[in-house]
Amino acid sequence: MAMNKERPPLIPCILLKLLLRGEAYYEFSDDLDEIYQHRISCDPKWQVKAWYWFRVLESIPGIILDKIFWRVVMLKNYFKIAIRNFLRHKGYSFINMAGFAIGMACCLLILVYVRHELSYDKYHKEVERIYRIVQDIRSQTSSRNFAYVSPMVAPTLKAEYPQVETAARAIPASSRLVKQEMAVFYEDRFMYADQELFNIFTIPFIKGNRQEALTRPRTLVISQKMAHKYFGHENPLGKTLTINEREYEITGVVANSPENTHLKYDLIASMETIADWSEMSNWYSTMFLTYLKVKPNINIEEFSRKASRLADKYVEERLSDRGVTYNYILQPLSSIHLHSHTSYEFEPPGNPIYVYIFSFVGLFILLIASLNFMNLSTARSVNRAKEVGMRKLVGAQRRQLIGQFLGESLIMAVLSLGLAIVIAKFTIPLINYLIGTTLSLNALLNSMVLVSLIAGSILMGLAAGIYPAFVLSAFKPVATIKGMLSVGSRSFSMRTVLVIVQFTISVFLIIGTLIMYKQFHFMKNQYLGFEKEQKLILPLRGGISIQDNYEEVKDLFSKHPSISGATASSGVPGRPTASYSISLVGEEDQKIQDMFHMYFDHDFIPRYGIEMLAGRNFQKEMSTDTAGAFLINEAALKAFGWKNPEDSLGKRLRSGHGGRVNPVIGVTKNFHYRGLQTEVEPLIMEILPRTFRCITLSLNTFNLKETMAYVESQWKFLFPGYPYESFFLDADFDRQYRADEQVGRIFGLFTSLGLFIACLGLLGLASFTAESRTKEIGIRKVLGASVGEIVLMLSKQFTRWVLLSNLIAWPIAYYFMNSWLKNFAYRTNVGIMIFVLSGFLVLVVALITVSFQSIRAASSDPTDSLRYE
Amino acid sequence: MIMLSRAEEIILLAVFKLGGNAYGVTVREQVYKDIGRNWSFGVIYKTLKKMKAKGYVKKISSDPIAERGGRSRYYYEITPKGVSVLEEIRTIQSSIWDGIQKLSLKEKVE
Repeated sequence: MAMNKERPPLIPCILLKLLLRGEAYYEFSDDLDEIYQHRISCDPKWQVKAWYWFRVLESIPGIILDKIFWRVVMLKNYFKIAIRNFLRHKGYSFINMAGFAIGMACCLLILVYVRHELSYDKYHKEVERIYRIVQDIRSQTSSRNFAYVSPMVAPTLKAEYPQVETAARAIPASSRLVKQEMAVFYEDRFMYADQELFNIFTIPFIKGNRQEALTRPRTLVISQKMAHKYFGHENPLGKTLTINEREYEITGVVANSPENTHLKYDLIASMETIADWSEMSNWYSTMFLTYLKVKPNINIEEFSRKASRLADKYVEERLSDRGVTYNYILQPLSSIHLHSHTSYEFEPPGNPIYVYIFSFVGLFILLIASLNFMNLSTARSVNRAKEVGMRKLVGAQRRQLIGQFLGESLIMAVLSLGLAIVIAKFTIPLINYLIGTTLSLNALLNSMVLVSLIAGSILMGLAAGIYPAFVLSAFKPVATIKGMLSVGSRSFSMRTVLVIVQFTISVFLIIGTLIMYKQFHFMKNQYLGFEKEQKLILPLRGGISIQDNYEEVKDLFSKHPSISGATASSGVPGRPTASYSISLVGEEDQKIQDMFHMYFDHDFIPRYGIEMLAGRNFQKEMSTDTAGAFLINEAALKAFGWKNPEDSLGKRLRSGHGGRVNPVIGVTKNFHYRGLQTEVEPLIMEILPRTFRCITLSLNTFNLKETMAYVESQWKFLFPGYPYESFFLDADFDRQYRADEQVGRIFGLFTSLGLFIACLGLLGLASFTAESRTKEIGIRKVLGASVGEIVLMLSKQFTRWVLLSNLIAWPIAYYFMNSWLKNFAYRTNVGIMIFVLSGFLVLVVALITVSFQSIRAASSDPTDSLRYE
Repeated sequence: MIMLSRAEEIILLAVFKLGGNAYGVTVREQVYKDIGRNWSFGVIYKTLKKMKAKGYVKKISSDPIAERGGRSRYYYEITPKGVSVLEEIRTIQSSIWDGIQKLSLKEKVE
């Protein structure tokens, strides 16, 4: 029987082999085989084979349960050891975990920010079919994009293009004075809109009929916030609000405008209200935002090609002989926030560059944190070496050890994620405060995001743990038990590389921050061509007009001894100005340009300290100067092609604003009426009292409080019923840099965090080095080395690393920061100082970190250290 | 008090009864004789392994056997600890069944 053995069926054998290993496999298969051989001699073959199959199949659940049982037993052990290790080396563990958690928290915050930026307008239903149509007005010399188009565009699109499902117009208007009984406030988010807007955007109605909310004139839809503000708990439907002295009936209450939309609303009045405007049939007007929704499954490229010249048949005749063309461009709604570059965007658009920058910074910090983790784990390996040796001696396979250490770093990563969420939760209000946003962690409460977060942290745990796992599991058991292990004896180990990478990133981030701050400082302190200090601005909102009495109003304010003068203007530097077409009389057919216009009285130039280049300022005595003369700036002079300022004097210009023709009476030096991000563009100035919306008071700061009180009392006397408001020009002007400054602040914050994490890592490494050289230090001291010499010896290595990092980081930082500076028309020079300074800063921080440990090690008693081990 | 699962109890008893001749095949046969059911080998090995870890049985490999291609057969043998556990179980068993002659619902109600 023993000689001619019957082979058992193959497949169950393979199954067994897959499930069991070594002894267990042979025990099982030999036992089965014993019965199999016994039965095969008496029973039919198929029956025995079937029997064999069944025995194997029915055993599988038992085998698997068994495997799970022993896994769990082993896991318990790993867990116990991990916790003991964690507790025994609290310092290391804390550094390790804190670094990881802070890194992740940074990433979380950046993720929230980036997601917020990317989420703009994506919440609308069927957003992929919604577009905004913008206008590109092109002449031979200039091309300018407008977000605003003619009111005729929307009806034309609906009537002539079958691809369009619906289209709607909206005019976001300047702030309005809103009254309801005793409540009087200025509201900024007011707009006129077509009823169709509700069919394009997802604006949920809380009260009212969404189908006919804005079909009649003088109807108004308000946000919940407004409903609460003006009506409390009452039902606002059917009630009225007075806006700029006109009464509107409330026909709907809608949900509050989300933060992530470019078109934020609080009050939406019906377009019917202004249906009798002369503008409403004007093809040359550029006032209306126009949104459209196309039908599903149309060829959007073909449609946008056709629609691009939609105005041609209405305007061509008048425009073509002047060489001007109107091009219309479709912008997908969700791309407006980050990718639209039209002039006069309703809300300042986001900058995609910053989204990229922050994504990179997030990755960098995560990288630093992971490197930290890798570094510390391997550095600590000496502590674990004996454990590894023991495990190997009692039969652990390398596979199991790798699993153990990977598992530990995984647990660490997941725990860090938890900690990171807590940190992020507590720091997000700080971030919001610093950069003036309303970000919230709730954006992460989304199963997809949560799953990817956990997956991400697991991935990070794996990435950070894989190197230590392989290093640790490769230890020779005998060497570890004998204590012959030498870790880090190689002069240029993996660990050195990791530290250098960390510090390279830190240096890079610091240089970036410093250059950003230098640029902001530069912009704030650059002379703007006018005096921005000690100017109090009183904006005239809610329809106040001083067209007829501006001189009296100015005089009244100027009476106070601390107010040295007043001037009225359409706007002030730093606030948006309007642009209109302009051309030289006689050349209208050849060259039309688009230039900014500013309107002010004759006191503006002297009050603001703007210098004249040629000609004269407006004069009070010359009555023809009012609405009858132009000043131009240097840039305009160039744009018209005049070489000498004097050449321009007396030339007659035709302005697109009302078609007025006036002579040029003077040329001013360039002054920055917009922020330093942009070049000074051509400017046309005129006295036009009906456009005056601002009063500028020149104060001296002596007894400021009393002066302010005086101004307020005069305001109440002059404009009863209008809330008093004022602001200082210098602070207001600097608001233009706020977006950039916010970015700078976040950048600075994350930079310091990155450096902090890197230092945590360095601290861990330094203490490890000091520890592993305890004996050496002891011997040196016995032989007469001073504390200073030993500190120097321990710090030398780190100093070398940091210096090397500097050398690597400098060119990279130079390249990137130079391209960032190109965003600004007026920029500071980079200068070598910043590089040296950042390098020095990092070196000092690193040395301080290291010296904590090295001084302790160096000043310890040599007898203790020699007795060590 | 040490508790064994029912499967452990049955298999430990089988090993005990088989004396020195307990290995996979015989244990399974013994279980069949005792409870009239054929258990899968998977369950038997699993339970034996667990009890080995608890120290109730030990595993002894025999001399090489030609039929097994020169490999050993793995015998299980009950340890003194295992025996004392069995004893304890017997005591508990009889004490919890004590005083019950016949099982029927009526009697219980009284």
